Amino acid sequence: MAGHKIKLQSSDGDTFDVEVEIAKQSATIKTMLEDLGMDEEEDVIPLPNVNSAILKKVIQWATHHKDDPPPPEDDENREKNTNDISSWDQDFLKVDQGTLFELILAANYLDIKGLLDVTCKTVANMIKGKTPEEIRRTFNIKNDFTPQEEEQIKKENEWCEEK
Amino acid sequence: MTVLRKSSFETLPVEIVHRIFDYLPTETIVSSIRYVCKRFYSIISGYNNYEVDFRYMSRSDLCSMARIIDPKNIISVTLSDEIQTPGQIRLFLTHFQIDQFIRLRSLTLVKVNCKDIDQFQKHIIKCQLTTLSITLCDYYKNDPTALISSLISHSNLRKFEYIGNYKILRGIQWPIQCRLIHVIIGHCSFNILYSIIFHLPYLQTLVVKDIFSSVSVVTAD
Repeated sequence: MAGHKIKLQSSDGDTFDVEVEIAKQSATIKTMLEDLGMDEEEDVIPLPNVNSAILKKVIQWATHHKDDPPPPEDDENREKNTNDISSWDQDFLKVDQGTLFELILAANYLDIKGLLDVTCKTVANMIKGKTPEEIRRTFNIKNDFTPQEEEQIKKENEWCEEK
Repeated sequence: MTVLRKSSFETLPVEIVHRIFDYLPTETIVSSIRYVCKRFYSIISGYNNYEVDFRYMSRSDLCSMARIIDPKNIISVTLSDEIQTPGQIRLFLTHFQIDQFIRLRSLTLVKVNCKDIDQFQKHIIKCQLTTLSITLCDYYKNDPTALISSLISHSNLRKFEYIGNYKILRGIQWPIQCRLIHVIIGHCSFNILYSIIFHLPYLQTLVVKDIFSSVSVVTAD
C-alpha cells in the first residue's frame, strides 16, 4: 500500500513517522520488517544507536533518494572516483564534522549503502592531497608519536636501494 | 536519553576507516595518513584492499611501496612503460615478487613488452585475476599472440581490455566457453568483431574504440 508508514524511535525517545518504502533503504530496517514481520502500524522500531538530530538527517536523505536505483551489490568493482557526489548531497553534507561522522556511524548501523558511500567519499575528499600535519589540523588529531618513532617511520618510507 | 558521544575521524571503527581508504590513492595512505598518529599507523597495517596505480609514481616511490606494502594486501596493480615512467614494469618486477600477489584481482599493463607479459603470465595462471588490461608497446620482436591467448584462457577472468595491433586479435585462440563478460578493444575490423561475439557466449558489454572494414563494403541493393 502506497504511503504506508512505520514509526522509528531515536535514542532520545522521539518517534518519526516514515513511509515504509523510504525506511527500507536501510537494510537493517528492511530485514527487521521482513524477517520479524513488524509491519503493523502500531509497531515502533527502536534505533538506540541514532539520536533525533541524526535520524532526522538520515530520513531527509532517504526521502530525497527514495527513487534511486539500488546501489550495485559487488564491492569489488566499486569506483574509486570521489568526484561524482551530486550537488544535492554536497549541500546536504555541508555540516560540522561531528555530524558528518555521526551520519557515517548511523549509515553503517542502519546499513544504508548509498549514504555510507557518499559520506565516506566526502571524508576521503577532505584528506586527498594533504600532508600529515594538514590532516591532523583538519580533523583535530594529536600527533602521539615520539620524535624517535617519527624518525623510524620516515626511514621506512625513505630508505630505498636503487637497482 | 541521549548518549553523549563525540564522534571524530579518530574514533571511527576500523572497518569504516578502511572503507574511507578505499577511496584514497595509495600514496596518500602510505605517505600521509601513516604519519598522522599511532592509531592510523596500526589501522593501515591491517588494510588489505590496496589498488596501487604506479603510473604517476617516481622510481623511489615505487621502491618504498615495495618496502611498506605487503603484496598480499594489494588487489589491483597498474603499471606503465609510457614515456613518463620508462622501464617501470621491469623495475616493478625487480622490486616485487609477482608470485606474492596472491589476492590480485586486477592488472593493468600499459606499453608492456612481450618479455614482461611473459613474467606476469606465469603468475596470472595461479591467481584469481578477474580484470586484465593490456596496452602493447609499439615494437616487439616475438609475436605475442600465443601469450595473449594463454592469458585470456584464465577461467576467472571477466573483463579484458586490449589496445594494440589488431592483427594479434585475429590470431587469438578464444577459450571454449570463454567466460569474459566485458571486453574493450582499441582498434579492430568487423571480422574480428564477429569472431569475438561468436566466441564469447557470456559477453554483456563490448567496447570498440575504433572500427574499420577490412574488405570493401558491398551493399545488397
